[in-house]
Amino acid sequence: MKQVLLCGAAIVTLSMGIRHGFGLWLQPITMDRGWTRETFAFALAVQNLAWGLAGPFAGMLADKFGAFRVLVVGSVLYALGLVVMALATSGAAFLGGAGLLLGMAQSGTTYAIVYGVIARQVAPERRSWAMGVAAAAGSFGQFLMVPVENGLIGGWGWQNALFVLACLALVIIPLAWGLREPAKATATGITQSVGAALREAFAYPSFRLLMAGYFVCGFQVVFIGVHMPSYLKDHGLSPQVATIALALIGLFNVFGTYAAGTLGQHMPKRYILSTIYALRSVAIVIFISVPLTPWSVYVFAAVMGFLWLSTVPPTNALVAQIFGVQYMSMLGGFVFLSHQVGSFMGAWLGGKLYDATGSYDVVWWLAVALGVFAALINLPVRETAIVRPVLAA
Amino acid sequence: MKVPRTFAWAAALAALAGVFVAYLNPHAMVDLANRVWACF
Repeated sequence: MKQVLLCGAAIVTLSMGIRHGFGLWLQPITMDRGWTRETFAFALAVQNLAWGLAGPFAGMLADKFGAFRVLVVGSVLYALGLVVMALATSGAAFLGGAGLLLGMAQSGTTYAIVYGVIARQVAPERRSWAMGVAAAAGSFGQFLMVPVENGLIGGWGWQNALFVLACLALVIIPLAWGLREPAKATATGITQSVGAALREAFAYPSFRLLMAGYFVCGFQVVFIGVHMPSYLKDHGLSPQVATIALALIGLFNVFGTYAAGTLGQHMPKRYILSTIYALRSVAIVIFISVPLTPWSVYVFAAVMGFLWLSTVPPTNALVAQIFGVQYMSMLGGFVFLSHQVGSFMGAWLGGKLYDATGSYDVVWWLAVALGVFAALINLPVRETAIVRPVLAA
Repeated sequence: MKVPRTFAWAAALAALAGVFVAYLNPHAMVDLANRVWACF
């Protein structure tokens, strides 16, 4: 277990961390290449969608052929995407590298793949905690890499910074060696095709409820992550406030993900998820209701940071708990696809409704309503394992 | 050799504190803030 946990944690530290600071390249790339911000932003939006769409397929391949091969391919795609991002001189090439290649790379190197191995190699009584540890590692990667990438850009230039990150992405390959699994022997009497697994999952109400809740998660975190700096700027707060808020979100995110994973060992995960979404709505209501000051921002950032990716361990642990571990990565990939659709909506609607109404108020309240919705729909999730007919010997 | 849990926790907290301090470095903060602000 220790090898799986250490290597898995290190992999998501890199894979989640490298991508987290891509916004820092917006100014240098658009200025050097003479592109509009839309060119850059569109590529990143495609990246997120590609990540979500490729996730189920990457997960399917990992479940069938082992996570090691998928992680190696993902690592190579990651490095290639970063190099293309550095060298692209046209918007189309940039879209191909920063959008498609990096999106596919992330599908092959992030939580769904690593969690499949964790789910299969860690005993159920430690699984939620182990997922919390891995999620905390990914959160730490996000926290760590923003100042690191900022320093790389400032010290070595934006292109060399991307080349450095490409080298870092390749470190995933030796780490993936620690996630090799023994050849899977079909469990006695329990065998399921990919198609049967998919039909079963999508017909199961709890799976659809988890997907719906995760959509809200994506909407909320990406809306806040993308638009909060603009919201603060509109209200006259200094850029340093946004920086400290980013830091607080990153810091408390580590604690929140670990806590959620640990709590999942001791209490129903649907209650953890419901509480997270409810608290997010409460936090947002308070944040937009009180006078906006640096300290109100810091408190909000700390609270939201604690609740940021804390949905990841219980959601994925529930998928494993209900459907078993054979297709954990694939099913986790489908749930994450819903998250990424929500992310796209959060980023896009945030801008669209701001342009239409002149403020973010509508979107903030939409985020509140969605949080209440998610808090309620997670409650009926049935956490017991599906009982499947045993094949005759 | 098993790493004592308290040492692991201390190392993790030290790493988190170190990264947080990196955000607060005045030069780094201004630089990072400007890059974040440039998005808007």
